[in-house]
Amino acid sequence: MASSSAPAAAGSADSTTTRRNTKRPKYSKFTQQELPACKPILTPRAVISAFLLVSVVFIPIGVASLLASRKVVEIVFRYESRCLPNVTNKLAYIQNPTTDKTCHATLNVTKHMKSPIYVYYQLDNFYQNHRRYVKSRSDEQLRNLKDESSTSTCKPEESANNMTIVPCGLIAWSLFNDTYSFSVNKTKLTVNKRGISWKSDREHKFGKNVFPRNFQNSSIVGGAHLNESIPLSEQEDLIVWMRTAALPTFRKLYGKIEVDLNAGDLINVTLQNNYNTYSFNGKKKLVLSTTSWLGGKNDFLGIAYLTVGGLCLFLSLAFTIVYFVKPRQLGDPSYLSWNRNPGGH
Amino acid sequence: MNQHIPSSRNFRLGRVKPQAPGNRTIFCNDRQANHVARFKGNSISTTKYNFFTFLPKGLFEQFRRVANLYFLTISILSTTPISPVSPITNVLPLSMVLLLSLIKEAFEDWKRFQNDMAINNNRVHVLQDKEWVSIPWKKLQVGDIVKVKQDGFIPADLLFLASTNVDGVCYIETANLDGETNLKIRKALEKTWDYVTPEKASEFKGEIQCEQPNNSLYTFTGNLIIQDQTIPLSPNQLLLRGCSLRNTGHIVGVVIFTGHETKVMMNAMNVPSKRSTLERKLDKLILTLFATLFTMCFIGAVGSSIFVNTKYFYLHLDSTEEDGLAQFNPGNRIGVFLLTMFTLITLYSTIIPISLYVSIEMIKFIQSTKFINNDLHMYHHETNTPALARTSNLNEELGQVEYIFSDKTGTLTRNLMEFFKCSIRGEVYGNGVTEIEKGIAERRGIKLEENISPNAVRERGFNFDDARLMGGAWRNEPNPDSCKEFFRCLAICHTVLPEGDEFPEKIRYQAASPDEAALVIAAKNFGFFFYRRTPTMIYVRESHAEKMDIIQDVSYEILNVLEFNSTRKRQSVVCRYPNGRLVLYCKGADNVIYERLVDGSNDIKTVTREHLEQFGSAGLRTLCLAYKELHPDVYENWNKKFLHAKSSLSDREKKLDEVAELIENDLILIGSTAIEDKLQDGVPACIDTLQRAGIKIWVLTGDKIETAINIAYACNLINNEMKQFIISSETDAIREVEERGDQVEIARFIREEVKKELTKCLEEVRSYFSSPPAPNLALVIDGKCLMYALDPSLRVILLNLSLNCHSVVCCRVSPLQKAQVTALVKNGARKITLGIGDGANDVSMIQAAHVGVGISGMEGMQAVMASDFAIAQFRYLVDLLLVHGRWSYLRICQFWFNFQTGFSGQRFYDDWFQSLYNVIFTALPVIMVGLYDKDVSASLSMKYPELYMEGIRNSFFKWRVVAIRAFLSVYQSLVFFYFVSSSNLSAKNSEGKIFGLWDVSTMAFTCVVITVNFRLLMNSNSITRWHYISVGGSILGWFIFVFIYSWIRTRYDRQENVYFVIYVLMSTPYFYIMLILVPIAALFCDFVYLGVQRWFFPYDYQIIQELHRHENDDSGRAQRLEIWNQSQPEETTLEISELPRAISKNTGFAFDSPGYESFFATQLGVHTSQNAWDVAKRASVRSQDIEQKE
Repeated sequence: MASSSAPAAAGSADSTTTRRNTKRPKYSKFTQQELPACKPILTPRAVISAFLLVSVVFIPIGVASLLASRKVVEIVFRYESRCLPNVTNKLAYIQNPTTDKTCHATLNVTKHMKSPIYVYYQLDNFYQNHRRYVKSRSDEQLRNLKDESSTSTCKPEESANNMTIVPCGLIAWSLFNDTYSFSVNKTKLTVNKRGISWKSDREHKFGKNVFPRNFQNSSIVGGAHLNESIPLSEQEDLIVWMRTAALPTFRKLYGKIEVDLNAGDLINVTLQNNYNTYSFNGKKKLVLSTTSWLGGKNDFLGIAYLTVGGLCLFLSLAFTIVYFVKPRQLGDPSYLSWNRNPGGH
Repeated sequence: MNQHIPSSRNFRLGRVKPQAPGNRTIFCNDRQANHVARFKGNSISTTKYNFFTFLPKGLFEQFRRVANLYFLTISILSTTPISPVSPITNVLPLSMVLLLSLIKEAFEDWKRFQNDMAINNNRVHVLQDKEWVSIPWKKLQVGDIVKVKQDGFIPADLLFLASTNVDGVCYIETANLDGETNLKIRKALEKTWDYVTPEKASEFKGEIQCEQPNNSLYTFTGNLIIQDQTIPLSPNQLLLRGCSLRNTGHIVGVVIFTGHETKVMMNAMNVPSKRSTLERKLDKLILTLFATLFTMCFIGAVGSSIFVNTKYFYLHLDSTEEDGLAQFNPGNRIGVFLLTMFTLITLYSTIIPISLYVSIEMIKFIQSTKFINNDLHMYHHETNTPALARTSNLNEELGQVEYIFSDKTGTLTRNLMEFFKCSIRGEVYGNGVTEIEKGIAERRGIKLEENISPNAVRERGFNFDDARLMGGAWRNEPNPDSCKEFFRCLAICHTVLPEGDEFPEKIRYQAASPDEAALVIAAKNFGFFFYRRTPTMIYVRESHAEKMDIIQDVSYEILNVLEFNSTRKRQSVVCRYPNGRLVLYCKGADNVIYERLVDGSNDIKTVTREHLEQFGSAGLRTLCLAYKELHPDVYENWNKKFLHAKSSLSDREKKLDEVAELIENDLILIGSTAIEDKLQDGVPACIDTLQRAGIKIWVLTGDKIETAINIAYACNLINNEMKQFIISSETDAIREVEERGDQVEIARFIREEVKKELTKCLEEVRSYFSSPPAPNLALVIDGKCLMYALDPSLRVILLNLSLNCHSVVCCRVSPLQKAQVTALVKNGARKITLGIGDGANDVSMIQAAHVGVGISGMEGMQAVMASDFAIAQFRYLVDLLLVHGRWSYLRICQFWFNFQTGFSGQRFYDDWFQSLYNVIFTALPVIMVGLYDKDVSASLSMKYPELYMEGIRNSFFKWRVVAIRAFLSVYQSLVFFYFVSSSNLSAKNSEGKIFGLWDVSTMAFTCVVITVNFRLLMNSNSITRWHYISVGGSILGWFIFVFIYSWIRTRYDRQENVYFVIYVLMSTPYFYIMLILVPIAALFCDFVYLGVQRWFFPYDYQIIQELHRHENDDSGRAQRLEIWNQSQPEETTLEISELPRAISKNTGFAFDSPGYESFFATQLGVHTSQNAWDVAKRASVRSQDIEQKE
């Protein structure tokens, strides 16, 4: 290499250069920018095969997830207007704690539903992700009895009647309080409300020794009341509710029905329509759904996979056709700009 | 002695009032007397800060960068309650950046300080009580008498009193001042020669009156008043700080200017900091981003103010008692708007990434220090100089240079002069063929044979091939007497000093210009060996002078020396022969000499004129020699005037010129000399390569038009196929007007002429371009015309014309004009310019250009350097694109999210994720790409210089490209957000559980990190193992971070958002499915774009990549050398007789050496700015060397 011949010459050169420290840079692959490297070139063949590869991987995954999603049986029942008696002032009705807000409905099971069947409520136009809302909680207070008074982040629901609220904050205060009960053919279906929250939340975020106190005692009642004898770690509705949703339309797990339902069964739903979504015209839905390995009904994933896979397949075909019809020679010098228009600058 | 002191005191008292500001009076060797004047000390400080000013001043400097100020504002905003992110995530990166920069500043300043200390503590011998006492430099005071030893540095500006050399002469090297390595001669006043020993020196009591400190390196006026005598002082007695003493035992001098008042320090000005155009473009981009940010915030804020409504009861917007409500108070929508605006600005602030600046700085730093400085191909081992990137700001600018402005002497040529031919009394001697003639012949397709004649005599400075003049053979020539005068003129009329033993083989000549040395060497070879000089005598050993084979030593008394300067363009010596004959010998530029010739013998004049033109066209530098016999009475008469002029204090130079004019007339022409100015190695090949790369090269030189054209020919800059436009002031019409002498008329006339010429040329150019194929065009313009052409009214025409030309040669230009021309192109055409030069006269040009390149060392390395820059280009731009390309989508993603949160300004990502995103998860791969990416190997970019045009056209950083990138980013952000948020609604595992906000965002973020890193890989042209390591490391780093981060739990608020999130995510199959889908879907568009672009609209470099895709990279280096060697023109040979001669009207003029040009520079008021720092540094290094040796 170049480096080997030069020192020999340097020795015979000027004696002053050798006497002084030579400033000749040291050779290293790094400084000479000669690190071995692979140089991927997106040749047409590489492009086509990459597309093909993606489509080969994506289409099966897409089919699989679409099938999984299709296997899921989902019953959605929207009830916020249906369960509203013919009153002129919706708000007054819903805010009146004394009126009975029981509502009955019948749902038709169209396909066999294998247990467990998950019961969700779905809210719409509900901004659980609003900054004011997301901030308004105190994780310390939820976890530890001794941190009961750390409510600085809970504004404006940190205290009522000069006493701290446990659990404090807007999120807890606005806890969802509609209730559902189900029966099929007059037999009551038990809704299992245990294990509806993520285990990590139960075990690490909500304390076993923290009990609700002074909750919903302010002038305006935001939502559900809590049983003050049950520790927060077992108040699973609250735990679920406090895992705030990312988007204004969201579902929350309400419970599990642990019996199969057959096609044609009629489910009688008795629900307490307590929660106020009328002030902001939010929808309320009750959802019964089975799950697959991938979770609930979600066609989007399968469709997305199929779309990307399909597009890739299409493109690989299109490129193949172009490749055969009008091939571009790799490294054709005539493509060089100075060959295309000689002297044209 | 004692009686003088009061008299001089009185003198001072009498004069101090009227002219106090203009003069400085120094009492030699008398500290008490000088104390009154309070001169400054000799210690210097070049530091920017001191202990107390460091923090405020350093911080101020930092916040002058807009970006830092921006981040500071954001940080302040983030500490207020309206901020959605915790302040620490903004403050921490900013303070890290500031801390690093401050440490860097402090370190540099510390180094400066240490260097200052080293210099200030250098020791020098100073006279105290009749003894030399060693004291540090900083203790030196004005008026002290100091002793400087051989190879020592001059500690302050000194008045040179005496030296150990018998004739009061010393030699200094001014390399630190102007980069010139030839020794300068300084001569003490005869009166002061004796003060060498301490005993004697302590008796020295004198008074110096001189000018106030100024920055003109080449002028000095003053008087020494000693023993009631007033003796004029000149620059010749001044030793400047920073020079080093050579070939002299020691010298004794009086300190005149100290410390910051020395001329070299007065010259030290801050080098204007240059910013690369790319950086400016980046600024624009950031402004665009800021506008985008503002728009986004505006939309968000409007949305927020519309959104807030008490109907969302769960937000408790109706509560009145509490202060935090202000931002969401539905009753005050304008307040909501304003506050949300600020919130959003902090939220989206990362759209302008702080780490961008840091990583760019880092990449540039490594590039310049590790790559450019260490490139073995830019190391020149004869001079032991590696390439040196003095600033790291301009690396990427090198990839876009379109115009190169080059100095000629020392840059294109070697500044090595060889006596090549001569013409004596109408007879040409010398058969050699110049490189330029070879080049011309080669271009005409004539292959010529080189036969080195046995008569040829070669040594450094002499390359003459003609037996007729050698070894006394000239006695048989038709004009032996003229030959004798010719040789004597060469041997006597000069300011050269001999050095070493007085034998022809051993002697070395020290001259101010290499031309002079070459002439004396020539005389030596012709048998007139000049071997000794005393202040009044010149000793010449003449062989064969009177008779064949007789060698005799002759001493000539030198009566007067009329020195060279750029207005006189000639030099004369009046000497007295041993036999009493008085002769004036004169040599100078042809036109100057011809004006002063005696009437008659016109045939000799005509023939010599023809010869001069011949020499000129061969690229030789010529001088005319003449002499004149003087009558003693006439001489005595004149000498009085001369002495009078010489001792005048004001306008001395002008008066001397006028006096010289009186005697330099009625000369008799002897003949002319021709000196070859050797080209640097590989210059023509390099220029050819650069031209193929689409770079236009302009030569700006102080040389004569013909010399310049010939050098241009020799360098391949101009060839015969080119259409040449020559705009010269040397036309008959102009000369005629000039002879009439009316200055106003001359100016008007030349301006008219220039305008006429320019318009004519431009029209011609247009006609060429309207009917292709257009020939290549070349413009040659001389300094005088340029002066008028640069006039605002004509500037546009000049610019239009010159931009259409392939090459432009400007000759006879002053340094100021060089800078003006550069600025014209830089500002007028908005192209990237590069100035390259070696001398002090190029400094202004180098500073004016976007990129300045200085040649270090006599032997230039510019050929290699210039072509190597071509490599540095691409990766830079590409990398920047990647940097700025990637920043967008993550943040735009935030924007989509905000649509969904009621515009409240809730953040989507956890704030730590967000602020670490740039710093850790993606920064390393970007730096790697910035450092390692290269599209084609070095050898290929040498082989296809045309690739460089992509840089010139700025292909990689066009707004169109930026727009495509931005579009892709928006696309990706949409993919990220909507794909991931689609997972919000339904259950995510078979347990039926649902993701919350932080689950979704963590998943999105994971996808982003993976995508960004893979995208970087996808866009890299070459992937080294470092790429894999950094990309893999980044992704791994993210996972490790998130694992730890969601495991730990602290008491600080908000952190528990992502508590356990990653474990939850990883327990679901959904996560993995998304992890495959989202990056691929996001990169889909990129991939299609890349594929289609390469397939259908390939860049040149991509074609080259494909052409050489099977080649091993390791062979690249060897190839690169090979190609370089091949592209060097093989030594071709020719026969001179066949050379078609271009006869030119003008001839090269030998005294245009850089030394004189820099002299010229001072006259025009353009002072060389020398980094005093370098001087100091070299001084300290040097002294360490000496210590080690001892």
